[in-house]
Amino acid sequence: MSDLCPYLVLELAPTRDLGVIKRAYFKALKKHPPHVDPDAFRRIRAAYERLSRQDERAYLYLTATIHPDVELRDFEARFGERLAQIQAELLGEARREELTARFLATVTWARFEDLKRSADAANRGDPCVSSLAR
Amino acid sequence: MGRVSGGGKKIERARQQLEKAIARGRLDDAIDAALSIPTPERKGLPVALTRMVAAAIDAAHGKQNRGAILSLWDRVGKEPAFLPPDPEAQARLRFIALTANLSAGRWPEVKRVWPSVEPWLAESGLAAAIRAYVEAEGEVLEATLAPFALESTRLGHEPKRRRRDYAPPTSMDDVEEACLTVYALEPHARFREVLEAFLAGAREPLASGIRATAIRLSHRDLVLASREPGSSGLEVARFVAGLAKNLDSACEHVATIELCLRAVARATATSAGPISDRKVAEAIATVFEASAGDATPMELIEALACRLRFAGAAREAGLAVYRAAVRIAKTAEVVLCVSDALAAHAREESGLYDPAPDFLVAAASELLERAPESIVEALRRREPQAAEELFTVWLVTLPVELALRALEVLPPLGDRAFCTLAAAAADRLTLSLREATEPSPASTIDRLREVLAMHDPFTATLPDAYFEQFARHPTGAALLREIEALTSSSGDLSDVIASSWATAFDPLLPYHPGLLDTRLELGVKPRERTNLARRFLAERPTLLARVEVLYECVQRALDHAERLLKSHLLDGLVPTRKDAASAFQFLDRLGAPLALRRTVAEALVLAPADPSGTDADVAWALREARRLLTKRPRKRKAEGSSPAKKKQRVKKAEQLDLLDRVEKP
Repeated sequence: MSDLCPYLVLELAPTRDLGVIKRAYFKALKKHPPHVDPDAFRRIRAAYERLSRQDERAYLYLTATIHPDVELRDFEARFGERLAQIQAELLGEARREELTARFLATVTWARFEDLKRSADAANRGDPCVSSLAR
Repeated sequence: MGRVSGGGKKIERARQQLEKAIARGRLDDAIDAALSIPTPERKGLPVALTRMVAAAIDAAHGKQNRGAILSLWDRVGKEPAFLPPDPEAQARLRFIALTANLSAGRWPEVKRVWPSVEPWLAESGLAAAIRAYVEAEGEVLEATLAPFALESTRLGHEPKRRRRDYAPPTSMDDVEEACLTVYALEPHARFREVLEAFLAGAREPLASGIRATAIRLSHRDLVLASREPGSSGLEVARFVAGLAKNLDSACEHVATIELCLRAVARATATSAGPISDRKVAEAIATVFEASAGDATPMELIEALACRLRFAGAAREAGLAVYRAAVRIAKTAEVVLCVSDALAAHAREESGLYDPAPDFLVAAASELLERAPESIVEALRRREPQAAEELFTVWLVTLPVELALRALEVLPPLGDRAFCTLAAAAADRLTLSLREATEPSPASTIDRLREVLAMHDPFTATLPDAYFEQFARHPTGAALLREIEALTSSSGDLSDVIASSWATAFDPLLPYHPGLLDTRLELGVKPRERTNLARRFLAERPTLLARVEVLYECVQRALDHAERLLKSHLLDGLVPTRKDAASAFQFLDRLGAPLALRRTVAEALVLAPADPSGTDADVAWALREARRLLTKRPRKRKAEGSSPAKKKQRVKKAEQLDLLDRVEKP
């Protein structure tokens, strides 16, 4: 039971605010009343107790899963557009450089015999030819 | 036969050199010799040379050595005489040279060679691509190159990647764009490298601008790392923390520093044992140090610091982590946990407790002045056994004056259970001080031997066993105490404890028999003895509790305390029959000395009956007590009546004689 993230059990974004934790606990209790769902109640209670202890709360807060959308809101607002623009411009260039380098690597170390044979095969209409010839 | 002209001689010599070089397999020398022959005369170069050239170009191609192909082609490529006469073999070499020149971007040579190669590849797709590439000098559509780019991976020809160079920003206006460009195109490891190069050449305020932008951009990588299984992002955290450490406005980046702490938590959460990787420990230290400068919540540092343990190569960096943690969060929890961790390190290495480092002593001192109740609270949150252990370790590693101050300040702030815990820790502190100041057994024997030998050189020749036995004898022990009083530093303990007793230890005395024993050992006036006994026993209002503590004194050889408590066992106590019966049973089970059992038996017989009646256990105890009291004690044998006693008496006389010889040489 203790390996479940208490923040997930209480359906709560990681926080160190005890008031927020308490509110989430009562909300979860309303959703899963002890007499209706005793197992869920035990999970909720255990999660709340762990988050009520200050030292454990701090550590759980640090190890809890965070929400990237929330965490990156400021980043996106400040850099998102410009970053996408630079990537569109420069990555196109980088992609072209990469393609050229790969084309030249293919050409430089290709064997003349293979190319010639492939060319002959292509001339004969042999289907088992390298894509180099096609 | 006509005379050979000067030019003819030269050609002849060149031909001879050529033949010699070919015979020796020296291609460079052979090409040099062939090139020294004038072009019109070069026709008909030996076939062996063309074979050597073809083999060398082939070999360089096989080894994917483009440089070798190009340098050889530069020498022979323009002279058809160097190439084999067979057209296909010639085309093959030209193809190799063409592709090498193509990838080196040597367009004039590419254009020169291409027409002689093209017919051989006429119908292939590659020929079409090369043709397009050659004609446009590399400026072709991506679609033309794409099929062959994929082919390079299949054939195992990975191109060497070109590292981009980035111009460092020269003004504050450039900073964001320059950093963002690197960030957009490079993985974070390369981004760090480039930004560090930027920083190396930047002055303030440009450097601060680069640092701040790098932190803002790395925020994203820390978030993404937290979502990626198996990645802690500790390297990114270290980079960010290193930048934030040198930034005045670090408090602007609290959220990013918090992500760094998350990276530390993730990196350390998975390891079961202590951290032994020095780099990980250094990264954590950097993150902690960066956290010190801003508004990072103390509880986050506390939560991490109390869970970190370091081993092996990581210990030194671990000390930096603890130092930073204590600087940020000077809380009781951190101070106690760090003391415990450092003590554990020292104990593993040497089996002893090392004195606390200065930063920890300073923090402990400040805490005792500022918030002593927090130390009591931190200890009370733990199980009694763990709390006692932790408190003891803390006290033992502190300087004596500070440990005594803690024992003076803290117990009044706690309850009875805390006082008991503190008294146990105080007792162990006393033992530890005693061990630290007492001479080792070996030096005791040596000192005894030295003193005795001063008066009688003969004694120096006696074996160690003799001195060991003598030191255990009351006379020898008395002599040894005198020697120690005169020569050793063992007086330190007495001085320290005696001078601090009234303030530090006295309030704790009723909670631990060890403290009572030490107090009695240090010397107490007769009237004070009674008071001490009463104070001690008042904390134990039942006969069973008193008998239990008495038994503890016997077990731990606390002779002074045992004697005192035995003589005051029933002071101010009228035990109930049930209580007395429990005490009697306790002693009976342990086979306690008869005298003690008789004392308790008397108390049991005299105890008023319980109104609720007598249960079977009490009835049995009562019966046994009566039987014990009516039994006549055995008569002691007269002194010296047994052979063993006689032998002991003779030995004692001998030792007294030896002492007499020492006193009156």
